[in-house]
Amino acid sequence: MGRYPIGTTQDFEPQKVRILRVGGERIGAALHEGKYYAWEDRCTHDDNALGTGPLEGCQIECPRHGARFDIRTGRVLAPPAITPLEIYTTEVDQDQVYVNIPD
Amino acid sequence: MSVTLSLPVQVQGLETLGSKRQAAFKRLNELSFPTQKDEVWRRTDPENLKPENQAVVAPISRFGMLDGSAVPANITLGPIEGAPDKVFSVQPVEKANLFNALNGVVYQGGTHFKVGKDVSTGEQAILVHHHYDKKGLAATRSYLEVGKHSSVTLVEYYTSDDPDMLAFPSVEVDVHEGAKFRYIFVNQWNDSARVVPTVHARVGKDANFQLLFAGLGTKITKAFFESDLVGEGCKSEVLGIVLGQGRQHYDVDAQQNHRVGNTVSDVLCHVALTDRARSVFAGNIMCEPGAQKIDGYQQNRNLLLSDKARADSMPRLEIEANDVRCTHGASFSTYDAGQRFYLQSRGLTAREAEHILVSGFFAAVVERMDHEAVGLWLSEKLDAKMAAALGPVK
Repeated sequence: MGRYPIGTTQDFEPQKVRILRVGGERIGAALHEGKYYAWEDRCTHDDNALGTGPLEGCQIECPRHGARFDIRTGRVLAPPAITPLEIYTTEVDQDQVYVNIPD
Repeated sequence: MSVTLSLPVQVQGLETLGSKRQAAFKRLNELSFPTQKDEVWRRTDPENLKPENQAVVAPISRFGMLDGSAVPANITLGPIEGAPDKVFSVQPVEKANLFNALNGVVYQGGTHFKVGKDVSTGEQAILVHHHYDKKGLAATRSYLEVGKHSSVTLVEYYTSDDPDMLAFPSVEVDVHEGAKFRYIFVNQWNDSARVVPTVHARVGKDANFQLLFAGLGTKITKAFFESDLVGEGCKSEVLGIVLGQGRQHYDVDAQQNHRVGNTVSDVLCHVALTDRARSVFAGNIMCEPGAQKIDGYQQNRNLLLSDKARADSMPRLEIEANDVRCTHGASFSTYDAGQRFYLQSRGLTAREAEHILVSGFFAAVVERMDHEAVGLWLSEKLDAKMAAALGPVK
């Protein structure tokens, strides 16, 4: 498990997706209802980057084929994806936001 | 010679390179760095493969026979530095592979292997081991030429210590009329290394080229294997065994170009993945207009050993002739519960049973090579990798 800093709390605006490259992975991260969420920025349907799609509430939509995922749980909310999105846990230590990426 | 790379393509130290490499640099400048919008790179992020001001370093290379005996007469085997001008050519491979072009400019180290007419290595094989003990970029270039009616087997084995290594080795193969060439490419770099190998073969009349790719290490591998079948009666066989663990990512691109009729191609790739490893297989059989009586087959079998592992398979056909037989297939499965139960009922532990099932899965590919000495050598490497990926057998 690797713990990586992904910015300070001031770097996050509510409902605005940030795309970052940490530990060799491209991740998406957002502040939603006061909590920080992070996920692998790759649609499980066809590997397209999710980050350019809209985030509506807790749902992010893949701009390519419209698959939707819940950024809190990774659950698939709309096809054509069938596999859940990989969600990474986050922590806030003082002002710094960290993401934990499993090995 | 000291060369440092960063991209978009900037090569520091180019003025110290010869005019031939500068010609390769011109070719490189015609290409742009790939993005995930390119179909070939859609499932492997090229951003993870960008050189960042790293210097190109040379490997420590050992050349000899697998059993330590003397190399047969009429075989030239040594470092690439003694090779003819052909090694400077950057073949315009079908997928406009920038890493192959980059290699043509900055390569350091590699193999020059030239076999004369009617030479055979018989039951034995030649082993070349390239090992990197320094940090930096690895860019070996190998030129392998097998003369008419010869029958030889060569293993090229790549290892490295540096976890941050970025490598883009390139191999050019020329198999002349009636020759048989078995080539084994063993990709066992550091488990954190990123590697983009390219193997491009030109197979002549009645020749037989067999490539076996063993993917046993690296964090990311994006491999390009391309065969041009240019002589009637020839055969190109691409075999692959990949065992991924952790977050390893393997992307194999196998392109078979039937330039003339009466040719055979066969691709067989077996992939086993555990933990969160993932693989991508993209194969393509291309038949040129008028190239009739072609027999092409590609098969990708995937064994998923954890519910987080993922494999994608995209076999394709590009047929522009009307009298050919080209087919493809892909399968995805996990352990066969019945087979595992049977092995455990004979007294084996669950882990021993898993090792046997995965070994058997790979044996189906290795046996296709029909070379006992290489098969034994390879199974030692595979056993060690399986112990790391599946856990050791007590």
